[in-house]
Amino acid sequence: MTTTALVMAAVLPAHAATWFVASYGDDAFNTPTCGAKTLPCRSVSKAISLAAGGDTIIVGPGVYGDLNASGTFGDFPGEETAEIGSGCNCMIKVSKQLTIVSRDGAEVTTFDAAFLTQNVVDIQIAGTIFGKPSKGFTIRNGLASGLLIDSAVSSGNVAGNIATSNLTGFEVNVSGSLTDKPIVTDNIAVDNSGSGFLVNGDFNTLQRNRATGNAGAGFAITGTGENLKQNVAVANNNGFEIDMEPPGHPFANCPSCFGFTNNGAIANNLAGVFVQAMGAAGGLAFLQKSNAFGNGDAANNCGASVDNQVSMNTMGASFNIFYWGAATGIGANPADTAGGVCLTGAGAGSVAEFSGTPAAKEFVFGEKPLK
Amino acid sequence: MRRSAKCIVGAWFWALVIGGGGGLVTALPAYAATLYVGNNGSDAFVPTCGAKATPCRSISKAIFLAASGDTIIVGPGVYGDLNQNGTFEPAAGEEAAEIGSGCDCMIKVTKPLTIQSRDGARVTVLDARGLAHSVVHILAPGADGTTFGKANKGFTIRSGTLDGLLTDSSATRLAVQGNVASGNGTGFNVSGAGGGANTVKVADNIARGNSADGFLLGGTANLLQRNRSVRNQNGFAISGATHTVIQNVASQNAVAGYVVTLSTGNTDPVSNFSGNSAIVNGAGISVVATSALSSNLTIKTSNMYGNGDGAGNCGLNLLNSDGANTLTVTATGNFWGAASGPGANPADAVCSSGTVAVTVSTPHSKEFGVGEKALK
Repeated sequence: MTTTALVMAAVLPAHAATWFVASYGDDAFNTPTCGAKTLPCRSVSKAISLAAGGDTIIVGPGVYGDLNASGTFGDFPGEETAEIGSGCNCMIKVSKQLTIVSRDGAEVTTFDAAFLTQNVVDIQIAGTIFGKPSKGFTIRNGLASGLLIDSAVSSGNVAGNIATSNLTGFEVNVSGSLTDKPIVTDNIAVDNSGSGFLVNGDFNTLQRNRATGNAGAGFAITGTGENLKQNVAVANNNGFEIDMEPPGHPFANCPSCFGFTNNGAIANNLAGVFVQAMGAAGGLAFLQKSNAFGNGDAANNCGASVDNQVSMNTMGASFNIFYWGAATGIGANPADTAGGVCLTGAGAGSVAEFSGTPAAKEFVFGEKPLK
Repeated sequence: MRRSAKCIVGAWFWALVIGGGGGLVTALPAYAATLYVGNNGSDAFVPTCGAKATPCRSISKAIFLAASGDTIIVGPGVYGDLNQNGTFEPAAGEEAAEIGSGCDCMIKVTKPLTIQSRDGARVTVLDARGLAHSVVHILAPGADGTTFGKANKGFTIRSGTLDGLLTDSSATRLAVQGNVASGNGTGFNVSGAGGGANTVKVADNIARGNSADGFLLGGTANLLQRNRSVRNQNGFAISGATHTVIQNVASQNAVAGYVVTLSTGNTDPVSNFSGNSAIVNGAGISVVATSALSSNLTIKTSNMYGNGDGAGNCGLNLLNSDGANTLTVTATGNFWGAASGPGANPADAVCSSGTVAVTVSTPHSKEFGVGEKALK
């Protein structure tokens, strides 16, 4: 009996329910309440308030936010229950462990904060699933971040979303661990006024994301133990900015503490990969098997730059088996370079090391479809 | 002889020469070659660019080198005014744009080619930076038969002052697929003399955030399928005759999701309008008639909901300024946001001005699934 009950519990969670939200919904449906497939809610906030941890919310196409464009939330039926100037200062607060997905994908399902809140979406609870490949959201017009994962959140999964026209596209402040890794995959950050992806937390996995046309970095990385693979940065200021601080940063001299493999930095305005130390105790960051080409301009074609601000220490980065735009490795245009003009700072030594031989041809890894 | 010089790009060419051709010719089309373009390329490679190991830097250079029927594969990165100095300098790998004359475009397609990206629209950007009227202009009749982009293998097309992608009204046999147009005037300005094998096919594209229409379709008997148009003025603006418009989604467009215009000699603009969605636009589907109507428009198996505001929730908006004739629209079997059909919020309603005859009976009781096919 006990065994049978346990098996059934695993197959059908006793209290997991699915809630529906749509542009033809009504938060005032009350038979008994909105959220059924035939009586969807109008706002995602309402569905979150009705849901319990473990539930799923499926959101139909359209736009969610300040529906009558009045500059405030809550003065028109079905607007999101935003917190402005206090609390999360966000439009949609995910305060329960939920799975929130769109039915038809990010291109046609938009969370628009209309520059009324700092963040558009704030994920506060571990284990949240926000978007899936082909089932994410467009997240736009946040004064600060399109999607913020709070520092108290130790796990979760953010996938299939498009962040555009925010300051920062995706801000990940997760305090993960080696055994509990939040995963950010298959997202797109395009045309944000700051960074596409800003990762301040530890032990996050970023995979198959795309950052294009952001005025700041495509991917700005601080923190410990981040694992970046198969991400591509095109036409940002710097493609990847890796910040080796604070002092004694654990990933310095520790290839296993920081994963950077099979990424692409292409046609960014300054450098493809920019590694800087402002307070680090020295050492090397290890990066491998990635593309860096078409970056900078004719005079400063830096596939990788190293900027050491620490006067007493030598620091830098090791670029192992990179493809620099030519089979012969770093060099003049059309290849990218990584020494000389690309080493800056007041430190005793900025270092770009090249362990192994450069890759003779481009790594191709972008063929998995992204939504 | 020119073909010989170019075919150095392909090892198979030497196999042909060494083997004397023979049976290989049937397996490999005699003159179809593939040219490569990349951000690691140089237009100055000698004897010529375009091999996989020595790609061109500009698409214009590859088009110049290509022959009819060739394929151009473009790697990830940015193409255009690379040093962002406000002019195009072909000698430095920038596109050979024509500004203020000729096509007034950044990339001119003058031959029937297959042009596609290797890694998709998200990472392959054609950026005119507001310097040219059109980003891409496919010229008729020279480029009839061109395929521009494919599903998963298209381009981001941005910052053309008038059009992202422009085709000519006499164009035939074009395919435009898998592209994203944003930040242009009109995203895709497409017309053509279609029908049968001549159809201009526009599929799986996205127009997002253009200042005019997402898709502007004219000409005759062309195809709009599985496109997405978001945050433009009108999502899809359709005139001309006998088009097929199926499985498209328009959302968050300021004026209307779709505007279909009928006029004299233009009484059957869309022969098949089905499976489309108009969700949260100024109005859902606007039908505009100005004169001499003799034909009907039929809208079927489509979603119209969330459009307008509380006061003017027009899923279907009929505007007839022809005092003499009746605008007749049949819109049975559609979903209006409520099982009971058109009505007050949260459903959408039918709005009209002028003399109209509209049938909205037997509404569909639930939403039609829309975007479930993967789009790139």
